[in-house]
Amino acid sequence: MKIFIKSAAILAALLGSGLTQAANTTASIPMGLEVPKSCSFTDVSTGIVIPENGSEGVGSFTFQCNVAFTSEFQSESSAVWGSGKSSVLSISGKKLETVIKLNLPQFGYSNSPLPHGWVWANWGYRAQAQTGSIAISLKEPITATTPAGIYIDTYKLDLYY
Amino acid sequence: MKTLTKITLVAIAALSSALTQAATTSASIPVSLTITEKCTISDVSTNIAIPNDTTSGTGAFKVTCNTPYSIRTSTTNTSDAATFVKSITNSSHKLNTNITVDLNGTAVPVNVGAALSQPGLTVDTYNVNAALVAAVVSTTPAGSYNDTLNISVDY
Repeated sequence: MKIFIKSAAILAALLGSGLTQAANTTASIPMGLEVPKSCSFTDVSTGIVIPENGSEGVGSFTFQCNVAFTSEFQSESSAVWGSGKSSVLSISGKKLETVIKLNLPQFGYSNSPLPHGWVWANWGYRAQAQTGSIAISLKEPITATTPAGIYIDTYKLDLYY
Repeated sequence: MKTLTKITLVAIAALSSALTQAATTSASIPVSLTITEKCTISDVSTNIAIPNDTTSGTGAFKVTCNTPYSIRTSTTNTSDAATFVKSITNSSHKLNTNITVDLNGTAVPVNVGAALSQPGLTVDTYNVNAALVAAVVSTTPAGSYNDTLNISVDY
């Protein structure tokens, strides 16, 4: 009987030890950051004024993308008015054809004439902001009978990414 | 656990969608050209010799405008719409004249009348005719007689 009691006491002591042993519970919180793709324009000229004397009017722009992108630069006249040629248009409907040159040295354009005033190209990631300019002039000089008035167009700059 | 897995998958799908969605950034630069209104008078006859009879001496000039315009003329020597040439040595010696100016038969007023309006955008050639009302006679004082036609274009 004494032996049984002793054994029971040892067992109880062992059980008690098991119940009070230290435990560990863990959790983890993933962390991350998503940098959205973006392209932005800055320092875009408010307008390009083409001189009457046949010289060039120039406008400039700067853009930056944090991802590979496609650029499409075009004059509204050739894209929308359907002529296939860039031009300026008067309120009376008179069109004067224009010559458009792109200066974007980092992309290989050095005052390069753009057929129909349009250019489309794919570009890889560029770390630096890109600055370019558009020069527009009349293809033919105006004459004494070229109607007076205000002629307009819009040069559009689109970046797809 | 199933719920957590499902939420994780949805989050991944959303991230993936955001990363692959096409986007466009645009800018535009207005382009303008202003052609100012201009008119020129050119090829103006240097002189019109008026014959001593009543036939006409002729002259011409051209008007080129890139906008609508109106034209009127006047003579230096005029009185009550009458025109005349005057002796350069004796201003009291006057010979009445008929001066006409026309554009393809359409008369331009000389001294009186409303200006003639034209649409412009073409080179308009005007003709001038100047003749004596009465032929020179043997008692007409000898000498040089002259007048000047002045041309005015408004636009």
